[in-house]
Order: sequence, then structure tokens, then C-alpha cells
Amino acid sequence: MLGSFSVGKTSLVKQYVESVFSDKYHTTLGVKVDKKQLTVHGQAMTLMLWDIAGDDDFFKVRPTHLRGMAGAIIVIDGTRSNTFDVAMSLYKMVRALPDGHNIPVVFALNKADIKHQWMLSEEMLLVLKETSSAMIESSAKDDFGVDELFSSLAGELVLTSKLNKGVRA
Amino acid sequence: MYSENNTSALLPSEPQAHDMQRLRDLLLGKDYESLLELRRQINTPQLHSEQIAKVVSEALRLRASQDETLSEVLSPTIENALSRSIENDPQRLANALYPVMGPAIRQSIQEALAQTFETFNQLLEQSLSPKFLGWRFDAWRTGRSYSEVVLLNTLEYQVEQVFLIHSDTGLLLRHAEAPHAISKDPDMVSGMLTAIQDFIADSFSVQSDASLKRLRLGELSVLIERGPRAVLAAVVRGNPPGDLVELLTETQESIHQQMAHTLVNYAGDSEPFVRIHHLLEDCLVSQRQQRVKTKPWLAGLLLLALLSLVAYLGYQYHSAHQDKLALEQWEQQAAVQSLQDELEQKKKLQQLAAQAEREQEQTFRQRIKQINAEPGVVVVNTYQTEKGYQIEGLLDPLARHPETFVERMPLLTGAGVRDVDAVFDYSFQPYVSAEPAMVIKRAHLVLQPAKNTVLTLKNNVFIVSGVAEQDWRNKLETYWRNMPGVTALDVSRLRVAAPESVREHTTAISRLVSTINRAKYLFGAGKTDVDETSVHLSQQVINIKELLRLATANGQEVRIVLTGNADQSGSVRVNEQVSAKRAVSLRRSLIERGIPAAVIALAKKRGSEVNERSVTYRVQVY
Repeated sequence: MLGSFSVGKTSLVKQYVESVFSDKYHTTLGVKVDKKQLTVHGQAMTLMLWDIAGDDDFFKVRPTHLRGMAGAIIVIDGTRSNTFDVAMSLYKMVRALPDGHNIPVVFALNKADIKHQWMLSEEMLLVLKETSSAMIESSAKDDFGVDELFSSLAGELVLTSKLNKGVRA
Repeated sequence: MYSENNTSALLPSEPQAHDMQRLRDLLLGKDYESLLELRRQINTPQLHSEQIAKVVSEALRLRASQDETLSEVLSPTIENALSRSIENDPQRLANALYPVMGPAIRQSIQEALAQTFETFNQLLEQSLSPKFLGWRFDAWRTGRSYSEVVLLNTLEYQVEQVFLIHSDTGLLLRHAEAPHAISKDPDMVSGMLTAIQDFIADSFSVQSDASLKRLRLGELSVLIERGPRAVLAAVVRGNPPGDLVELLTETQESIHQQMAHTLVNYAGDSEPFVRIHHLLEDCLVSQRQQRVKTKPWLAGLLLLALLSLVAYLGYQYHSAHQDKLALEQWEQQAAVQSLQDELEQKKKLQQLAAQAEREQEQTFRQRIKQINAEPGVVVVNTYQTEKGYQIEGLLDPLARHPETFVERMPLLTGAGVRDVDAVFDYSFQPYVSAEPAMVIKRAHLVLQPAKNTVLTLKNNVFIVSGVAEQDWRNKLETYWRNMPGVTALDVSRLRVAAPESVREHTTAISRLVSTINRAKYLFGAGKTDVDETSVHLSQQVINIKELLRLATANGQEVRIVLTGNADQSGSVRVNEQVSAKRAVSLRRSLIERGIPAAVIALAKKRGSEVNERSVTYRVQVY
């Protein structure tokens, strides 16, 4: 899970899994790990979700956190256009990883419950659509598009056939 | 493969050969040429080698990717080659290995030093604790070296969980845990463990080849052994000894050896790592604190001594406790007894006081009764004062004041103490009493009756008897109607006489009384009988009869008392008898001569002062 601060990464993960570790790990370690087991296209798999602290002045996303990832969800807050810029720089960071061009990336356009306040331009949406494996509108608040978001990434991972079981997103 | 000789033997003769050549050309054309060229290449080692050299590395890579046989085939050769190389020129291999060996050796030495320091540090810490002396004592007692004892006491630990984590992805490859160990989801723990390692490596700029070796929280340690492809992490409760790190290193090596291929090609499937699960389980070692065994006899002796001490102390305590209990019981009983005594004493005193009070009360009531019995006095109220009593009531002016007749009475000042008399403080209001005694007294005061006039009151009837003058009789008539408590007047027994005759009679009576009193009848010595012929007797009879007549006329009554006397010659007893006999004889004689018996009485005592043999007269007129 990547994205600017307070775009809703943690809320999305919370909506999706029952967490074992406290949220304070974000501020201390900069990352919190959760697990979700699911079946996609008849294939059982385990998603290890690394919820990485928001990219801001205090927390820079560490390349070590990205190392070894199988797929990424980059979250954008539709109401803040600068989160799009952060998302794009994160996207480049992912692609720059060794074997990075094979990593499926899904963009989550979060806060879809207040879509009327969105500040994203048509061009931005076009860029996202072209660069990503999938672009999904979501709302952690209304539990809208959350399952779809994670299962879409899982589907991508199965399709790339890079992995059989156990995926780090 | 064909040898050179075989080839020449199969070749045909010259002309035949030419024909064959032509036939071949016709049949095979250019293909035959290339076939010959191919055979030449194979038969010529130089050319054959050149051909194989072109493909040998690709072929090896291909085979290595198919199975493990290449390693098996090549390892003896490589080992031989390495041995030969070292034999020929050790320097060359040393030079080649130098960049690898240097850091490896340095790391190994650092590790050993770190362990030594840790042990030393633990020793230092523990030598300052109270355990230190105990261990010294144990060492001296058992004859072991001190370090051995310390080692036995300190090495207590248990490996609770072992994680095998893929280095690149941080995914869990395999997890083993000791029974009863509490573990959260190992997948997530594995992820967080990786994140922590990354965090530390990123946060504190350390050398690139350095890695986190140990985490410690209280008695819990996480030992991390990092290999090229996987990380082995052991969660240890207690003090992990140095050889545990060694065990982890060995396990790590075995895993890398056995699973090298799987580790390199790991793509998220952890299933194949089931094979090395037993290696992880081997790491779940533990060492319990081993007690230094004491010789049984010593322990027995100690136990016996301890038991007897406990028994002795117990007995002491018990008996002391019993004594204490008995003492307490006795004290309690004594206290209860004294309390009871005190209570009884108090009760007795109270009883005494109550009795004294009752007595005082009774006495006081008697006094009040006495006062109330007195005519003309009525007690209305009484109060007890500090010094006695306050008595309020009514007092007729003619009545006697209680001060003059009430007996003294002691005052109760304490329990049974009566030192002083009670003070009676009277407060009387004057009143006119209708009591008969007071009525009579008032009538006497107002009417001034004559001596032979008698006033009495009976059932509110004022009775006047005797003799009275007419004037007095008139006065009575006016007075009695104003007398309180009198409803009628009875004068049936009152005789009204002329004032002169009454006065005369009174004078004659007085004269007769003195005459009779002066006379005495004398007896002879030892004689008690009366001489009937004596002058004295007849004269005395005449006088008495005259007195009786006059007194009756005046409404008065007469009483004559005779007293017998004796001289002092005889004994007192005889004289008394004689005196009494003389009085009785004279009385009998007087009665025989006509004097009413009721008039003549005998004196109760003989006149002891008179030293004569006689009987004397004493006349009373009323």
C-alpha cells in the first residue's frame, strides 16, 4: 500500500482485514504488515499487505520496503490533486526496482463517497488509466470498491503467473 | 567413433574406388561432401574441440537447470583441481580467496569476542548480586570450579519459535514453535521482523554488510542469523548461550545447502520448505537450570536439623502460646471475678444505700404522721433539702408547734452515713381547726369554764356537763353557735347552781380534803389489821362521807388513794409486804363502813421515805 499521507491506505486495509498489530507501528517503524487469505480464479493465495507510512516530510518511503514486492496498490485522494503527483513519483520508484517493469500496479482513487469534491483532471485520469494495470474508485468509509481493489491486484498477480502462492503487495 | 586403422581397412581398391566415387557423386551430390567434412571434424580432435568449445558453457547451464547431476559429476573434479592447485601454488588460491576470507574471518572473530564480552558482562553483573555468595559457597562445597557453577546457574533458556524468512520478500518460508509457546500469526511476525531489520539498517547508517543480530526485550531475545537467501530468526526466552548462535549458523548453512535451488527460484510457494522443517525443530532447544546436586547425607542431615529446629521452635511456640493462653484465661477469669466482686460490692452498697434511704423515708413518714396526728396541724407538702426537709402546711394558732414535739432524726449523707440530724424547716399558714381537741381547747379559752364544768365534743355535738353558774350558761348559749365544727349543744348533764352555794361547797371541800389528808392510821409494831373501834376510823368515815356529798352537789368526783408505810426495822421485802397489807386492811374497813369501793384506791408504791407504821390518805377532787 503506497500513497501520500492521509489518502486512506490504512483505512482501506482496516476495511479489508482484521489487524493484529497496533496502528502505532506506522509512526514508529513506518510500516505495518497484515495478512489476507483469498482465492482468485480458483487459486488459493495469501496476500501479505505492507501498509507503508504516507510519503511526507517525516516519512520518506524506504526503497527497502519496496524490495521484494510482488504488486503495489498506490492510493490517491481524489480531493487532493497533489496526491496524484506523489502517486506518480511512487509509481516511478516501483518501476525503477530490479524487475520493476513486471510488477503489477493498481491505482486506488479513494474517497469516492465525496466524488463531487474531486480535483482530478481528465488528463490525470487518462495518465493513470494508461500507466496502471487497473484503476479502481474506492471508499473506505462506505466500504465501496475495497474488495474489488485487492482482488483486482490479486487477479493481476495470478495472471502475470509470476507467483503461485504468497504475494507481497 | 572410428579409429584411423579401421577406416583404412574398409577403403576399396583404386579403380573400384574411382567408380564408387562417381556413384556417390551421382547419388548424394554435395551432401556427401559435407558428410565427409563432418566426419573429418569429428575425427580431428582439434576441430572437434573447437566445435564443443562453442557450446560447452550453454550446455552446462542447460543441464544445471534441469537437475543436480552436474554438481555431483563436477564436484570431485573441482575438488581435485582445487587440491592440485593448492599443492602446486597455494598462494594463488589464497590471493583469490583473500577478499572473501578477510571479512569472513573478521566477522567470526568479532562474534567470538562479542560472546566472550557478553559472558564476562553477565558474570560481572551477577557477581554483584546476592547469588554470588551462594555460588561461591556451592563451588567450595562441591569441589567444582566457580566458573562451572556459574555456568550451570546462568544458562537457562528456551528457544520458543524459529522463523525462516526469505531475504528478498520478507515472506515466511517455514516456522517452528515449541509446545506451549504463544505466537501470533507467524506470517505477519515474519513481515514485521523484516520491516524492523530494514528500519534499523535504514535509520542508523551502518556498513552495508552489517545486519541486525539480536533484539532483546526483558528476558526475551530474538537471535537473527542472516544467510545469503534467507534469514533464520530464533525467539529465545532466557539467556541464550553462545553455542545457540553456532547452532543457528549451522542450521542456516544446512538449509542453504539443501534448498539452494528452491531459494534462488523462490516465487512465493513455501511448500518445498516442509522438507527442512526438522532442521528448524532441531533449533527449538532449551536448557533448564540444573541444580548442583548435593550429597544426599548432607541434605538429609540439613533437612533433619531443619525439621528438628522447626519442631523445637514449634513446641516452644506452642507451649509459650499455651502458657500465654492459660495466663490470659486466668487473667480473664480474675478480671471477670474482680468485676463480679466489684459489681456485687456495688450492688450491696446500692442495696445498703437503698435500704438506708428507705429507712430514712420511713422515719420521715413517721415524723409526718406524728405531726399530722397532732391536733391543729396539717402537713400539705414536703421537700427534701440539702440539710433535711422543708415541711409546708397549716397550723392552728392554738396547736402545739411541731418544733416542740417532733423527735430528732439523723440525716443520711452517704451510703449509710448518719452524722448529723436532719433540719426541719417549717413553713405554716395559720388556720382554724375543726378537730374536737382544738374545738374544746378554743372553747376553754373563750368560755373560761369553772373547775366542775366539763366540756366534750362527740359527733359534732358539744356536750357540757357538771355544774355551772347561770351567767356562764347564758354565755355558752351565744357562743356554741359560732363554734366551727359544732352542730348541736347537749346540756342534759349540766346542772345550773346558784353562785354562792357553789363557792361555799368549794371552800368546805377544800377544808375536808386537807383534814382527810392530814389524818393517818397508825399500826402497832408488826401489826397489819385495823382496830375497828378506833376513833380515827369513825371520824375519817364521817369526813369522807361529807366530802362525797359536797362534791356530788358541785358536780365533782372524788378519789382517795391509800398508801401503806412501814418502819425500817425489817428487810425491804418484808416491809413492802407489810405496807401493802396495811393499806388493803384499811380499805376493807372503810368499805365495810359504807364508803363506795370505787372511790378508794391503793397506791401502787409504798411510801419509802416515811419511816412509820401507818397508812396515809391522798384525796383528789375533779
